[in-house]
Amino acid sequence: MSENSDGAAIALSGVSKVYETGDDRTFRALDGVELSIRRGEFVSIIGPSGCGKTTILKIVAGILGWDDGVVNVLGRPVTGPGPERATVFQSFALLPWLSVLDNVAFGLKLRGMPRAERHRKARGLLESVNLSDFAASYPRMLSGGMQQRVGLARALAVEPQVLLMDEPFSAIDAQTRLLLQTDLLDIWSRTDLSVLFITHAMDEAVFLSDRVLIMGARPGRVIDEITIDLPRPRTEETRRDPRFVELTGYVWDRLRGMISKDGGEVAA
Amino acid sequence: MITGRRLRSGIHHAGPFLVSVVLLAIVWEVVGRTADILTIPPLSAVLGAFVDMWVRGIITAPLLDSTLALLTGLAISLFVGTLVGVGIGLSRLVQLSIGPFVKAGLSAPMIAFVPVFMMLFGIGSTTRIATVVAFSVFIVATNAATAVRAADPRQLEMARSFGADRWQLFWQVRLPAGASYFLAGTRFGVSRGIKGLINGEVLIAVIGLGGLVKQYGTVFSMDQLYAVIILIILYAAIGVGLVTLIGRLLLRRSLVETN
Repeated sequence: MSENSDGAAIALSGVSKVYETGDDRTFRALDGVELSIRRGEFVSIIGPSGCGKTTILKIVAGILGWDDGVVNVLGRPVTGPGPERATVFQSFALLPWLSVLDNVAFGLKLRGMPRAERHRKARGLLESVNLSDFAASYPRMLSGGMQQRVGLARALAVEPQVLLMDEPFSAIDAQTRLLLQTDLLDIWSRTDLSVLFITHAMDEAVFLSDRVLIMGARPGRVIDEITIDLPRPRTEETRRDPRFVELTGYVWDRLRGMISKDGGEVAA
Repeated sequence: MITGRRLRSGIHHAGPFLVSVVLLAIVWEVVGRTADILTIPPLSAVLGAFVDMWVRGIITAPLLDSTLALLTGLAISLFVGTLVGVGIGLSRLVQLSIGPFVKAGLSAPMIAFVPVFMMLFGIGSTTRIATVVAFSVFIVATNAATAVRAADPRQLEMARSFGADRWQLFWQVRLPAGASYFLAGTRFGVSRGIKGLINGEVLIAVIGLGGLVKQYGTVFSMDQLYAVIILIILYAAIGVGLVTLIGRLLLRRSLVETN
């Protein structure tokens, strides 16, 4: 994998992460993680709670250090956050004192873009996530699904090449989640974004991805890789495709085996 | 629209209070007239004394003088307190080395320091300014420390992921996230500062509103004494109310959003 990592959007090789848990004990969250995501590829990581999937995302985002191994994004070693990456968070992480428009423009503001210019750009992105009418609203006036659309617009505003999504739809009700999935694919298909998508929902991983990586816990590592050969564009019809059901079933088999072996539990 | 609604509900809430004020005034007046004891003059006499003193400028000059000292002391408290508080909030070293002083200062009876201030600064305005600072600086610092810690770690993480440096984290996330604590600190600082001001002036005995309290109290001029006390109570209420109002205006957007 590391041989081809120059061309990869994201490449992790032998990455390990150890947490100090206090009283001189350590917890090995990641152990020799290997993964590679091609440019323009949509890859999901799925695994039981505590397997370290969010840890991987934070390392790639440049907001968490690691102890061993190599992490490259677009062929360059990660040393911190970078303008070519943007993250969408499980908790939305919107700023309640800023309007929706200013939340979308937040990343641009940090990069020093003048107010008029960043607002113009933010308006365009609000349009692409169908929230034009809510530019002047404040986050708490919006539903969870709408808030995450703002989170997505904020990430897209900085024009990243790599989009990191940390269980972005897990705090959103099931119906809205399905709509957001198709919307996300719709937006993604119009870009050349490479996406790393963390989830614990099997159908979500299969529906969205080109490949699904299955992680095992204690220590966290990638134990299986499933290529999702469902045709694109994927629509609501895809969810009724026998192949979709088959692939979701396969992911569940792999996860279930791991869970029963560990005696742990899986988050729905 | 929102302001109008708030104003109207404010008047609604003021109703019962106005009734109790009127009742208190009536009881005071009746007791003052019938009991005929020196220490409880009727309210009308007190109000008469108030008007008389106001017109003759006996109150206005000390009022202005006290206000100037208060504002000077508060400016020092807000500046130093915020600086120290932000330091405590952001740095573990500062917290460990200075934090205990602030904690002690918060609960210590600062009035005990007034004689020390008098020896240090003399019987003058500097002493009461020092008293204002001593009363208010610790609460300002405590709230500033809380304010800079108030930011949601997930919001800070988000900002860092978009490349925010320490400076941007502070100005774009920590400061607005803690704004309501800064405001609370300022409000408590003002109310404690006014306490400090009057405490200091009563002990110094020759300047400001507190000086008037001391003078009239010593010679049993009860009409004037009550007039000054009422003025001080109103003064404190208006001072704190003003800060609250200014704070609301500054925070209007986020207040609209949280209410």
